[in-house]
Amino acid sequence: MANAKFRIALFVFLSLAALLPSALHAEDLPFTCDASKFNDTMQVCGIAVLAMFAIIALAYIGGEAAQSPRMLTWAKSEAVQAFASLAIASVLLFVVFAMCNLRVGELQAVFGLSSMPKIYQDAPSPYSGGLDSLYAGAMRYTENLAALALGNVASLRYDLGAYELRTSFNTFECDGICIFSLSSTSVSYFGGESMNLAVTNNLLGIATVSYLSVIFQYFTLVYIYSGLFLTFLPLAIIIRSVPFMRHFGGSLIAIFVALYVMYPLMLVADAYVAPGLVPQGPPVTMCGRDFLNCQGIGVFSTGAKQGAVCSQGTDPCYGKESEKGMENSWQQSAMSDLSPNTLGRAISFNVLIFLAAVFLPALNFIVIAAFGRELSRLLGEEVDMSRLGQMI
Amino acid sequence: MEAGKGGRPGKALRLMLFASMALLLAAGSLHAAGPALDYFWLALLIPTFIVAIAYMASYAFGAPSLRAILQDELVQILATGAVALTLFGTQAAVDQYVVATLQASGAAGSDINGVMDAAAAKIGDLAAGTNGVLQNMQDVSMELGKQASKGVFCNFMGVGFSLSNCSPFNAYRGSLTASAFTTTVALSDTYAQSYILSLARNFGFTVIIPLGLLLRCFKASRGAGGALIAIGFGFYTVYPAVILATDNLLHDGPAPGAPTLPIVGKCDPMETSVSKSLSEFTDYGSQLTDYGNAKALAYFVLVRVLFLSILNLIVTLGFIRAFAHMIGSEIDVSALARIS
Repeated sequence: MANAKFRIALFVFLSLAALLPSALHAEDLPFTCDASKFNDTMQVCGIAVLAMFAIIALAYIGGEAAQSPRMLTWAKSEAVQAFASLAIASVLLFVVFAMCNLRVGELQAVFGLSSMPKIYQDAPSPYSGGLDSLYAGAMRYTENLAALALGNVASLRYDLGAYELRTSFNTFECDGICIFSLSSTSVSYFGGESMNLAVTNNLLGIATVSYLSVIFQYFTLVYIYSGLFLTFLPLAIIIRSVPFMRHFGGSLIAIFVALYVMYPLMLVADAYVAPGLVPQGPPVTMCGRDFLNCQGIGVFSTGAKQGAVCSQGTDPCYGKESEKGMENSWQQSAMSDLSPNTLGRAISFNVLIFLAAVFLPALNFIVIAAFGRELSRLLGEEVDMSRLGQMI
Repeated sequence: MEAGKGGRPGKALRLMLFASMALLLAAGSLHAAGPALDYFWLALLIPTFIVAIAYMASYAFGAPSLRAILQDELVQILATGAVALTLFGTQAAVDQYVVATLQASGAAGSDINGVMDAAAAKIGDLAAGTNGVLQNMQDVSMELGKQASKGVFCNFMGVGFSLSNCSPFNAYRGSLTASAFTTTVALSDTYAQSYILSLARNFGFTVIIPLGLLLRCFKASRGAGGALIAIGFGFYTVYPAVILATDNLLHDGPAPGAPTLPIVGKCDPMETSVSKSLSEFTDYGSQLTDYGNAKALAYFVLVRVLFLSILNLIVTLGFIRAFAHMIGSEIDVSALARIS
């Protein structure tokens, strides 16, 4: 029985170890897919395992010298665990290697989808056509969504500015005899837009929440890419190699897998499903303001379907390109020219951004928490990661 | 469950293999049912092959303990297959029932092919109605603001006076803004429901559920797989069914539409008679706060759109949580519940 287990462990380990060097050839990839950082992490993992084996060897020698069956049994059981740690580390590095080499465009074929997200299709060269790695793909989606969320905030901010100007605009109307009678009537033609002002204020609050949520995800991703692989994984493997900290180390490994593998994967999945949020029919329109050039509008489109469009100064979004254009507005015609967005259109796009920035990530974290809990139970102690979802 | 003597598969295992073959055949029929279901059978086929290879390896390495684990895993794959068939069957039954019911009532058009179409049409109607209410409120507010702002100013030999006899109309603007605020939330809700339905229609049975089935077949990702299956099925089947059910249960016969608020008439700022101004103010007030209007508006915006949208989401999330628990995944949907 023991021989069989040993043979299986050795076979698995050697198979995975044989694949690892090819990770060094992962080309032109950001963050952890960088070969030098990959090597560093592998070295630390190797040192941790060697240290573990050294401790076991010392314990075994000590057991033989002291003729202590307890120490000998302990050393033998720990040797099996050392191989287990080695196998886990190998599997993890292999998975990371696979994530570095798998391209986002390949997921289109995996799920049998007719087209890929526009942000991947139209990515800058040499990544156009879905050539981003999964890690870069997750980052590209988050960056585009953040830009779009900011564009939405700018659009609503412009509307607020326009409503503020228009509601405070007052006209003195001379009916012809005012020159002699010195009397006139006054009227605020846009005074009723104070209602729109209140509603748009509320929309801006929601848009800000959406933007903050995306920014939170962006920085979480940056942290995961830069810190988790270089420090967290080696630490987890070292801790798992320490005999009395095995369960804790296993839990840390589960957290690592959930965040480092599942999180980017779910974000790429979001990039694929986000265009599906828009029903069949005319695309949802965002009025682009503030010279942001409608960045990220491709988040809701694929090669086959345009889910959202951005209009700047053309039908149906007239008006100025930014608040700067409002400076010299003082005549009634200039007030009309400000042309804030219609409430229905602003609400429609705001909800779309909210779902992409808040609703989908909340679903992500439900799945990630379920995955992390199961894996941590398998590797050591159960970890409750649902709190992470409450950050959204 | 134990293997037979001499390391050969026992009856239980043969039964399981037979069941798995039957499942694969059934999955094949799902494949034949339409291209959208291709990934159902693929999601079950991949783990079955992996378990089969591992099972062979257990003989190669002489590891009977591994075989016991693999037999458990095969049971899980079978269970996952049974879940897949149940989902597919339930979805087909719900679609059939809804279309038959709508056709019987004469409410189904040729473009309604299932519960998803019917719910999307219902939400589309609600969105159009709510948008109409908001647009009407904007029109009312614009005219009200314009009339209420009117005033007259007179100056002679450095002595002047101003009169704002239309300003009492401002009294209605606060309540109108509060109503518009609520209507905006209602409109946001209908758009959100429409987008969620669209997401489920596009990816529920083609990506989310097959991915969940695949993940559920492996021990480490069983929880995540269960969560995805529950989320996919919850939003694809249960959510539209709940949308239809709650709205139809709310009223007998055709639902009353959204009311139209009256637009204020012209106010003359030169009018010096207080009694006339007061009369215009109270007349418009009684039109604006007419009981029939207020009741219809509250019914449509507060009950039919806002309350039901929250109820629909709560019921769906409750189902998702219970269903995930049933198929072996403990998930916390409180984050989603807060969104509602």
